[in-house]
Amino acid sequence: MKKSMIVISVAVVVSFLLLFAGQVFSAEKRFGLADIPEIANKRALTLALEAGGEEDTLLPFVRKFEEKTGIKVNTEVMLFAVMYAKENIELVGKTGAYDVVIVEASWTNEWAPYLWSLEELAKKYEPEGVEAIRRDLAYLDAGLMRMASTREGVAYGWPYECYTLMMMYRDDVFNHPQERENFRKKYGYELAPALDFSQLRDQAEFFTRKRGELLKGRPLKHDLYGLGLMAGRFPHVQDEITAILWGMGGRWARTIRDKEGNAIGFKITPRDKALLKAAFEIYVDLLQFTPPGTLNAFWDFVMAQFSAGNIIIAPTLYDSCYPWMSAWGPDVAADARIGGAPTPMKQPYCGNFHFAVARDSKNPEGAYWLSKYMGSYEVHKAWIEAGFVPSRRDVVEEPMYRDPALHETTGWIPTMLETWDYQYPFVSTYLHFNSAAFGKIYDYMTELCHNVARGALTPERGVEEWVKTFTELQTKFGKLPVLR
Amino acid sequence: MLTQGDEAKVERAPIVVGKRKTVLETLTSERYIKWFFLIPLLVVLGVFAFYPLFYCLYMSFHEAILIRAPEFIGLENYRKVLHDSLFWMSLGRTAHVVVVCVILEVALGLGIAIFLNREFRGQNTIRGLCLLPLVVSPLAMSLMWKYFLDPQMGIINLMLSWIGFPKIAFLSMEGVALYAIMFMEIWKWLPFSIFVFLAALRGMPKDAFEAANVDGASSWFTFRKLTLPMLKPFIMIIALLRLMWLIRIFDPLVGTTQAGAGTETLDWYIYRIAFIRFDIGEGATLALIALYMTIIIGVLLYRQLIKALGAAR
Repeated sequence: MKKSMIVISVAVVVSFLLLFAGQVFSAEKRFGLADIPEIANKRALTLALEAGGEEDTLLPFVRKFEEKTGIKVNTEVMLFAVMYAKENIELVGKTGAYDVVIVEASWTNEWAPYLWSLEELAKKYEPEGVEAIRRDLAYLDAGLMRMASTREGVAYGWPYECYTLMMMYRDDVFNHPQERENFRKKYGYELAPALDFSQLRDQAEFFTRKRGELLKGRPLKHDLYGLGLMAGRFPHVQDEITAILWGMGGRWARTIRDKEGNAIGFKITPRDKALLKAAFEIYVDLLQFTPPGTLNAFWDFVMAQFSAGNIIIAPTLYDSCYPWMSAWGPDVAADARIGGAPTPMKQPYCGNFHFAVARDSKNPEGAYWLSKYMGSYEVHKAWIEAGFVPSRRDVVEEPMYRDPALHETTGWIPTMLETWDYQYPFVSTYLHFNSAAFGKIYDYMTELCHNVARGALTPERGVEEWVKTFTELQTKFGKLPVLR
Repeated sequence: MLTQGDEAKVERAPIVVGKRKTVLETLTSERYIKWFFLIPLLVVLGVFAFYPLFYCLYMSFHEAILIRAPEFIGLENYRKVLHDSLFWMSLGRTAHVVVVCVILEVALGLGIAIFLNREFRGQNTIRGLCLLPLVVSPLAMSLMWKYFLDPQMGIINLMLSWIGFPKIAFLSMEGVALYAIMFMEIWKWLPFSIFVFLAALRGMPKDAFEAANVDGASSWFTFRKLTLPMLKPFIMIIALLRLMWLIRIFDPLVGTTQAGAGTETLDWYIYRIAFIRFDIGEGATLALIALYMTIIIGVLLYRQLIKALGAAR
């Protein structure tokens, strides 16, 4: 008995030691530039990059990779607006123009036949095989990794930039005693970040005021609007409506799976149709509380309106906008402060870009190590410090970024993590990450949602159009049927 | 005219038989030299115009979506396009843009050209400034106007507020956005018509105008009976060129509405179907329909231009 107790105690202690050692080991083993082995193939690589801050932030790391490996990396910088078209034609045409492409999460299923999966590459090029890549991927958020994977769960890329929709609001206004008192009197509950779209509507109505009315006890110098939305004909309008639809439990279309879990088709249920109509109605209703110009707006408009003090709540805005929201204009109170919370109902679009290796790359080995390096801790750390949102949890969970002094730059982190965690169980059910026709569907959804927002289609008609066109596009471009 | 003696000389002139031309002489002869200059152009046209055109025609009879081999479907793409309400709406908007822009560009261009066709201090500077919009990059132009027309921060709304007007969301208001797009297009291309008309006005024969002046004709009469008829070929040239360019209107949408707020034109629709949806067959069909329309309207205008040129002579 005694002997067995000793054995058990020793086993427990050894397990703890091993666990601790494992953590230390894994922390030390975080992949970095120095871990890239000698690459035999020295053929130059071409890397697609998004124009703007991304290019500025990533280029120094591209140069480091060149120095380390001796492989020249050409970069092709493109606007997001043309990215799908440019990359799609090269990938489908098998031109080999790009070795490393940027893949928006919702394009993964569509482009999977033209990309190397991470495990295929790891088997070929990792000295430690597939285990090495699994260890590295564990640092990335699991939900984001699912988005960077096909509906069968095969991972194709290293997520690097994330854009999770969250709510940003004027924390100073929400905490102003007079405003809170007035709100409580009018609506019968406490003023706090909206948990659902009904509360959001109340708040939108409450804060929509005319010039000369009071805000925080001071007369407004201009009209004030409760909300900032992105209803222009840009992809963001469908992200906003999607956040309402998903939040209410609806889906654009459901992925139907067999007993083994294999996807066999898509179905739009009567409930989904009803919820989509409701989502359209809610969105159109909310538009009355937004500033003029909203029907041509995307995120830059909402950011500008917020920092100019023209709106109080941006209910569904990308977390990557957060650091720029506090550049307060001259008409904004000196004590203005931004607050962050999950979008109402907590199920917004959490897309991300990932770097993936094209099957037609002439140097897949070099492309693999370049893409892996772009997904490394070192690069993601630079990414967050440049004001972007990385996809690695070990980076966003670093205590240094939770410093209250950094509230206006990294204050989005707790909200984003909360959203990621809440959303994770649902990711596999979203059409975005299951359809191989989503690049085409995505563009159509933009058109549809914008047309509903501007009143060219009624919500009922919008649902009918969605069912008809989704069926056409999925049937023509997708691999799975639309089930009746 | 030859005299009899001359004819006799001609008859007696020795005939050189069997003198062969050198290769260089043959190639540089009237018969061949034209092909020497034409062939490079024909090759370029063949590769970059005729081949794509016939390939486009071929594709229009196929379901071509890149992910599988094109499949022959006969006239199905044409049937689909002709029953597509979005196609007709975008076509209607394009026609609207063409008519409004051509009329305004011709009218304003002519008016400004007449104004500039005078001697005044700083005339060269003013003329130079008039040319500026034409040299602005189209994308930069559309982004610039996006910010100028912004309802909150744009300079246009700021100026409107100075004179008591409410803020106008030019680029998001249904019905207004398309006019804002037309405005940008006119702003950019007005210098083209101004300078075509200015060149035409400066090249007009002075004697006819002096005679009219001596006869005591009014300015309006002179304009109607002399200036305008002489300008007709130039009006037709501007209308023809601008029509062909406006049917393909695309750039002003890129930086502004991205075809939102009811501004989707035919070219944007073609772009979306062909290069975002990658439905190459349907995109080819749309492109060909746009081409046929341009050719038909272009030919009609071209005939008018030829007539006008004949009348001007």
